[in-house]
Amino acid sequence: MGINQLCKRCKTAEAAVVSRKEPFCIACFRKFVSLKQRKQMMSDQYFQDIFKVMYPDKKKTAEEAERLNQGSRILVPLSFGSSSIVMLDVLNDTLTEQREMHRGKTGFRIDVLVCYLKDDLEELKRKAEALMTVKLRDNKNSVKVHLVDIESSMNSPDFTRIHLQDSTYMVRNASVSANEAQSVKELLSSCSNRSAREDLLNIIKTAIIKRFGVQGGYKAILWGHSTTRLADEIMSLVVKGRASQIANALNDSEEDFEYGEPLRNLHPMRDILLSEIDAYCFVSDLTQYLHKYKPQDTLLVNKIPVAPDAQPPRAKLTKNMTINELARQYFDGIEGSYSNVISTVVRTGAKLDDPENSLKSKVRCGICNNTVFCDGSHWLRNITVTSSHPIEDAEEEAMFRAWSASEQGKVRGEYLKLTSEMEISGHEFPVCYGCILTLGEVKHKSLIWPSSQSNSVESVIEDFIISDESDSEHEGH
Amino acid sequence: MSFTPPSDPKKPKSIKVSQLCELCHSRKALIKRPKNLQKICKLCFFHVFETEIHNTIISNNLFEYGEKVAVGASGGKDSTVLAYVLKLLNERYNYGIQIVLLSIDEGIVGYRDDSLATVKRNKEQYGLPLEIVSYRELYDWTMDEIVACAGVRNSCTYCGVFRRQALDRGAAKLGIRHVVTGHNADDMAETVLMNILRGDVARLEKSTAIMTQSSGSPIKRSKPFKYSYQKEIVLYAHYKKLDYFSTECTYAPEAFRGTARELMKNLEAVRPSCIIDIIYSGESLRLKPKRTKRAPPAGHVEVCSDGSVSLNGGDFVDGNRCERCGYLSSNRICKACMLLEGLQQNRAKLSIDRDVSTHGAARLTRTLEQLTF
Ligand SMILES: [Zn+2]
Ligand SMILES: [Zn+2]
Ligand SMILES: [Zn+2]
Ligand SMILES: [Zn+2]
Repeated sequence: MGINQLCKRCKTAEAAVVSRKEPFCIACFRKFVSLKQRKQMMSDQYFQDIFKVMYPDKKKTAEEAERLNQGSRILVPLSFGSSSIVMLDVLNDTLTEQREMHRGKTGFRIDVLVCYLKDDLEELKRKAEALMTVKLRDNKNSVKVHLVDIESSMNSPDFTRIHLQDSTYMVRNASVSANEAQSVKELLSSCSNRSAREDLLNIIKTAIIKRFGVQGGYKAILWGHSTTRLADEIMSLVVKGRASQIANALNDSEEDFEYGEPLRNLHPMRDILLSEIDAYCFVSDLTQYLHKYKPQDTLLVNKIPVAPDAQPPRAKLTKNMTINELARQYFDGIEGSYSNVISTVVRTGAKLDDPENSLKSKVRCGICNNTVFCDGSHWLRNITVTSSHPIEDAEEEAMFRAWSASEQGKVRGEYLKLTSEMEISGHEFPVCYGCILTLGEVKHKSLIWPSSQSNSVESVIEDFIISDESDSEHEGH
Repeated sequence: MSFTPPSDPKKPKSIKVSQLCELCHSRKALIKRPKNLQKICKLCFFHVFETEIHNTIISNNLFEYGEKVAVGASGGKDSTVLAYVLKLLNERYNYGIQIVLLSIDEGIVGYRDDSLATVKRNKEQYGLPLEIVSYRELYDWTMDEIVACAGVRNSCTYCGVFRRQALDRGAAKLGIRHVVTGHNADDMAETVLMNILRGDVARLEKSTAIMTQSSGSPIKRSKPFKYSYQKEIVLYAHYKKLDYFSTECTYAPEAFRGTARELMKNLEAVRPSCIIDIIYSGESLRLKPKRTKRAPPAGHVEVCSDGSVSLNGGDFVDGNRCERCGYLSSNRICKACMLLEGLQQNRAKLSIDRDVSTHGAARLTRTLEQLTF
């Protein structure tokens, strides 16, 4: 064994991580990642006002300054993947530093939001509790955890059926009674592939988070997307016909009006690669908090030994992968030979603007709530002919009559029946191009959706605050 | 392309109702449309394929009545189907255009011989006039010489730049102002992805333009196959029994483009519509207004990433001409001349005893001068 490399920053400690061709010791690497995140948190005046500790000055009294500090509440959606866990860790360190430097004062407060499906609840509760009682213990007065059941997004007094007619790409809706309502689980299992399932789940989760953010009056939502994740997302949005969403999705400098009230989004990890975040997880002992996520040790000097009984990961069949997974696989594959592609894609995405609106008025998609800039049904109809070549002879005429007389001719299964019902009772419904595609991959090209957004997310929050008893309970062990 | 169309089976005696075409419900379905997986019969396939191209031509006003139009003919499937379909639609819908087959002889021994023979047969089969312009005439270099000099690795760069200019220069020589090319939806989608992966901001908004023309240029270019799937073009050529030559460029695509092509293939397996979905996305790409940069110092010359020299600090200027050859270029020296200059230096190094470089350069300048608009 040769002598281990020294950290290039401090030139004293042994290197534990090699990133962007530079060897880092643990402390210097943690600092490197942390500074990248904090740089984004200080990227403009608005965010500086959130995160900085305020003091009385010419413009504000001591009370006002303290009110600002207390009122700087940010929302951190936590998926228990490496990125959001690392983001929370850096935020926690920031709070600790502030308390030390400002005699107990901190500049901001964190509300963590966990969206869960019932099967994961116990596990997530356990991990959230471990986070609060161990990792975030010193700052527990500044951190609050909320758990929201993803199923609650289907709580609504009225429902609507959204239906795609595949021969014309027309989308219609009609109200249905509450007993026709589907659970999120049922909806997801009615998708014909994993891509559609992932898209719908993401749409539902994003809606919960943003509505929670608006209703809670948070100063900002902090999204944990790494550079790598953003690059996947940009490519996937393009592939899914959703490129018009990119500008809004990446916009950290202007208000987001998607859910009525203005909201600010921030992607503080946008300059950090996923491999760096994973390495940070390993060297900071955060892997225990991860849920359904396997961090990669690619940047570690000492790789994590594989358990002898561990099964080698089974390669997924391309056909069963989601579009996002294919994009990720692509970037993983070229990282070695074309290292700058990931950051190039993110930089390019950040240069995009909303497209020109070709519609008469501003319309939002009835499914994903993104702005619709172009009539996707019309576009598809224009480039896809669905008329037929005329019938040429008696034999064909006979076949056509046989078809018309058959069950298939009258109502080709449930789908056509549903389609003709919707043609009679439904109304044209605005849906973006990407959601037309998603609808096409759901059973009967139809889904039941809550029709009013009036039910607030707050009413279904299961607040989850670690109480003193549970604290002492842990100490008693 | 490894795609092989299904064979045409003999007409069965009895057809089940469930086997009928989803469009006409009167003939047996034979084809699963790559675009939307609809099961349709052969006649309906011809109908939708041709009508979609007609709709594209009409809704984009591609042609003017009486216009002379050059079809960039390589003998490959895309351009063969294009020539066939354009002639057919021109007669069916009376566009009133005159179609000329325009072929470029790059000078790749073995490769072009067969494809030029195909184009010559197409000329007879479709009764369309044919014009052949060679790289030797245009640039004083054959593609084989370029590859020998620059190496196979870089050949696609040269191929792309020279071929693009060759069609325009060839058309100008014939007094034709409109070139149509067989670029299909797959090419279009690949270009959108490539521009994003490369961060090619200058091309991003224009990636999916169906018609391109620099202001001041007499030549416009259009792509009637913009929304046509490569697989459907192959199917059409197969069922119409068109005579074409398999023409993947003999020089493999540059490696990075190859990775994007592989990604596209995987995406298409997951969602067949992704090709048009990417084009839809491409049509909506728009850049934020540019922040005003501080003006560079006077006399500042900016060298672009491709090695060309830009004018006015990089702002795109239309209608500007190359100093060397007079061809339209946004830069002081056009890309072809840039590449040719590199080649000349290489050739000079390679052939010390045979002084052809000065002769070549002089002849090139002279030849290109005659071709200026
Ligand atoms: Zn160090
Ligand atoms: Zn939508
Ligand atoms: Zn048919
Ligand atoms: Zn030139």
